[in-house]
Amino acid sequence: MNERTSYYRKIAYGVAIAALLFPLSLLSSPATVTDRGGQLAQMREQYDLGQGDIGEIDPASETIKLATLGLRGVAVNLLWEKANYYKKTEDWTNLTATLEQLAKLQPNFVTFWMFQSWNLSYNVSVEFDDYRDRYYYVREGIEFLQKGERYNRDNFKILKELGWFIGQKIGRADEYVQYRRLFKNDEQFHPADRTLEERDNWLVGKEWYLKSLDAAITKGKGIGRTSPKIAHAAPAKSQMSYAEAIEEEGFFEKAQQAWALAETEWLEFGELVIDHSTGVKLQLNHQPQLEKEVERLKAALEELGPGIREKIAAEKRDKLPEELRATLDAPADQRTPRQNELLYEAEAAVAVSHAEVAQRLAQENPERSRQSRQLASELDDTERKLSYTINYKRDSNFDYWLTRTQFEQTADALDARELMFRAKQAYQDEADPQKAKELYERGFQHWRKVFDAFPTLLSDDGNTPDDVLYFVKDYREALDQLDETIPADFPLWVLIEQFDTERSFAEELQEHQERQGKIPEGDTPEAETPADGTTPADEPTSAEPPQEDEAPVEPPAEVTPPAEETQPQPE
Amino acid sequence: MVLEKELLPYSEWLSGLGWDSALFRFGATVLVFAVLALVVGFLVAMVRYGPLKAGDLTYRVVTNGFKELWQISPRRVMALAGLAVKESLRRRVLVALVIFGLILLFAGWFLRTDNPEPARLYLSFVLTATTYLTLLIALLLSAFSLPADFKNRTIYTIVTKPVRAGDIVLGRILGFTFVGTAMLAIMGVCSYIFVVRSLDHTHAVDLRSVENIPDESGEVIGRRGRTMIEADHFHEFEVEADGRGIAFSEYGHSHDVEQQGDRYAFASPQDFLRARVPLRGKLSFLDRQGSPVAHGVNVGNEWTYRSFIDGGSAAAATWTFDGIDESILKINPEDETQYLPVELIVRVFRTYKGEIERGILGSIQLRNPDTKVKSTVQTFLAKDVSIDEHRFERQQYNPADNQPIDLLEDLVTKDGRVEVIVQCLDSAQYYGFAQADCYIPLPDASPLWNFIKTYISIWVQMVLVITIGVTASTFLSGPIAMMFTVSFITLGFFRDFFVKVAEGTQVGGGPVESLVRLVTQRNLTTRFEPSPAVQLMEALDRVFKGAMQSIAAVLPDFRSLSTVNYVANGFEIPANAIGQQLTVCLAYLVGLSIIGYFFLRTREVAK
Repeated sequence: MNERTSYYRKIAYGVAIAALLFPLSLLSSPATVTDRGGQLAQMREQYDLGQGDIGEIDPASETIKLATLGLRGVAVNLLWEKANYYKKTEDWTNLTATLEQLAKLQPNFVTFWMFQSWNLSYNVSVEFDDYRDRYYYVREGIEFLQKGERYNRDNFKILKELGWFIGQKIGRADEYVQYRRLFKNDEQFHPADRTLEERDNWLVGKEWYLKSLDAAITKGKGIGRTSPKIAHAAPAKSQMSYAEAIEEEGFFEKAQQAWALAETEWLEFGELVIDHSTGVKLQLNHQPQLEKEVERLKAALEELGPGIREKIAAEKRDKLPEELRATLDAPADQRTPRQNELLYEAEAAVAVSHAEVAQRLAQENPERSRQSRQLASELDDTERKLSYTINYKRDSNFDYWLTRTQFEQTADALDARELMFRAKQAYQDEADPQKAKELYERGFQHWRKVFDAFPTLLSDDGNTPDDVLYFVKDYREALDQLDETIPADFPLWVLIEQFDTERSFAEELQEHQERQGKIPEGDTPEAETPADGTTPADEPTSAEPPQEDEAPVEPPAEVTPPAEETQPQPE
Repeated sequence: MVLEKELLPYSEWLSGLGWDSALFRFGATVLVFAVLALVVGFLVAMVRYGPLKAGDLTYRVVTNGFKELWQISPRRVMALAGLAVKESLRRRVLVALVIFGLILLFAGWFLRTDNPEPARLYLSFVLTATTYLTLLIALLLSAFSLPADFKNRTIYTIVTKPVRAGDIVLGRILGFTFVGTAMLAIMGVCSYIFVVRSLDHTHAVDLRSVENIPDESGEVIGRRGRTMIEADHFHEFEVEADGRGIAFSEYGHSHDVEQQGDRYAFASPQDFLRARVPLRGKLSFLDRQGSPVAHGVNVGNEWTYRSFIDGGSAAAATWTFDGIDESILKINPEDETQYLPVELIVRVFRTYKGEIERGILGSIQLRNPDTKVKSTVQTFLAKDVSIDEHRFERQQYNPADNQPIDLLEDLVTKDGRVEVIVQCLDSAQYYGFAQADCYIPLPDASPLWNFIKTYISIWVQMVLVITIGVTASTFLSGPIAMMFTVSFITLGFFRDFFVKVAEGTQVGGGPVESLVRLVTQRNLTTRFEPSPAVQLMEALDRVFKGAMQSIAAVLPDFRSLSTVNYVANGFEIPANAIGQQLTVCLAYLVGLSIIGYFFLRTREVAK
């Protein structure tokens, strides 16, 4: 290699660099007022990748990121370790300071904000004994998350989580009475233009839920992996929780208006087109229409070939092996264990699908082939849609909440609630059991009317009967003070019979049933089965008590965040 | 404040009985080093010159060495120290001050003002920043100085003068220490001003909240109200008829208030910086049957600093205090009576919700350790994790017969001992305590002097780093000396962990085992099936652990040298702690200077 070769090589390198720089400069030229810029600038714009598009630009954050000289990952790991250590050693001042530093280092790591704000609101707050200190850290967590929201504008997850924290953590904690009071009077938290009335945790939480949906729908950010039936129901559910909370605090007229609004919002939710995970579009309000449509389509198919379905079924039955046929023929109470095992198989074997009907129709009447196939496919689709709708409605306990918003607005329900409230006051604050008893008894009359007007309350998967049962317990306490027992003409025996799963009214119920002659006097029923052998379900008045696992599913307030289980890795 | 390690009295620490006394450990280390150096030196010389010459050489090096050590001249050392100072200034060490200034200027960006303990936050921040920056400068100065001299051959201009190797080593250490001290002093002044100024604020009054305070006859005897929110908090305040009053404590401070017509003037905050002086006692526990136990109950915390006593049972936490006499008692300004103040921090653990708005009930009582005479029981509602003062009037009543007793004569023994017994009264609820959670407050010390003391402990850390750095640079090149010193400091900061690994008490095994676990992705607790490979791994670990134990013996515990915790929590740094640190520093200085001297002697140039 001589000097000249080396010189040429350098020249070649220089030319190559210049040649590469040229397309690079075209690709990456920044956008100006008149020009959209190079490909990179355009893509950044398109996918919102610019720092300014993600959220607030914080000079402090940028500085510290640069100051770590490329060792941000190391710094973040050390700080996470430190944060865990401070949490372990109950050094809350340094924990919050470390979280501040971390926030500057990884401001766009959404899991960080959600994990650590949860840590503050849920895990750190409970370490304190004084409820005011607890509230302080609940608020710290909320404010921390709000800060995260500023760094990550229009992030559905953070916005939704804010709605949850402000609603559920404050409104469902053991200390919710105190938390709600502190929240209302918290001048440091609320903006100056928020009125005292609006400073309700459920209403503020609802605002954040609405913001989350605005970001997801209007701004097109999407709801990620959250189920649409949960995401869209949240604002209306907050409204209901608000109505429930102020009712408990004794503001009945306001509560009536709040329930009315909740009903409107719940119906709007029912009208909303939501995507099922299979892509089918559903509207929860449309169950009756879908049922009618299924009936209509079935009738239309039947009309094309009357009796075809039964005919196919009979054919299938004839082809069955002897054992399966015998299974189907055997009366339900005389089946052998083996037959019980085979029943599912046998029933599946003789089931006739709409497609099979259509196919047979096509064979028999080729000119109606297209029409019958179309009907069968439409019927399949509609049935599927109906079943999805029913499932989604059941998951969100749609019917119960609708009934709830409706009955709570009635004069009877309002009177009932008010009388319960006054009775409790009379018993607890005025120590007047006689007055309490009278108020309770008047109130239960109203409750009876409510249950008569909305009978589904006794069969829906709702918690109203359980709530009323708590009032009955308070009533019994007042009666105890007066040396009395629940009278025979108590209007809500049906509740005790059906919903006293803890059997706390076992004695009273036995006496009542003896009075009614349902069981012989002095006979003690066994734990589960009354002496006459009838189960409560066999009795004429009873409806199915709600199954525990189907009760309205409100996630408990004190759950560990998912992040707590799987430790998120620093960015 | 949290004191995880008990601070021993100086004399006990230095020369107490047993293997753990500082003096014994120092002596043992010196002995091991001396023997090791002699043997290694002799062996090296023997290989090079044969046994006879080797013996002669070793003898001469040692005798000369000791002679020279006695001949160290303060004048020469100071001259070389001056040189080191000049060199440091030439190497633009003052840039560090600019960096420090920048840190303080922008610290406000990263520190929140709405923390309920702002003083703690600010103090922790400036003191930690100062420590790290100072250690970094000390490291850079000390590790690169001698190697650079060797490289540039400027060392020749020194060794041609009548100086000895010991003078060079000591001169460097002293010179860099002077520079570091001056910088530390400047940083200290700036930090103090920064903290005081950052915390300074006043308040305006929310005039709508101001109302009169009437006495029983309805006459106005003062006014009360609340302030506007400033620095993320507000105060309730009261002024008396003469227009003077106080804004009650909030976020760790209070303000003096003066009414001027319709306006209220709030003075600067008080009590942000405090130096509480606690008289600490010895803690013991009784279990729920009332039998003595070493610890209380663990309520499931991973951190076992505090242990808990059951409520509504015979379980109790008892502190025994020593040295109680009349001088400890305080005087109540209202009725001139004497009382014994006891400050207590209670950590509450509830097993059921109970009454949310009411604290957990407890009792506190004094007892004479000899006669077992008790004072009147005082009940209190626990203020979780905050300092709560309980006063015991001098005049007490014996609960046994309700006869009056005197606190000093009947409850305190002749040699000044008294017990404080704390119990939790609500059953199935728990109180948690550590030894440092109960103390008798003595008059506060000066917060400024306390601040200076914490700078002394930073200074000690700096001198240690300089000494290690200079010593390492006598036989290593600059970057290697720096790496060596950094390793020393890092291990020093994690000494506890290092010792645990060396002793085999750390889960996950020694260095080889943890490497195997890392590579094979096994967690810390899975057992290895016995096999020759596992045996080899364990054998290698034993060798490493042995080496680590020897290293651990000379590692300074940097974490225990930090006194930031005291100042940040508003407690006085005990003189004892500073004394121990200075002694450790002196020991390292002497030991490492001697090692440095011998190493420098081995370099051709410095003979």
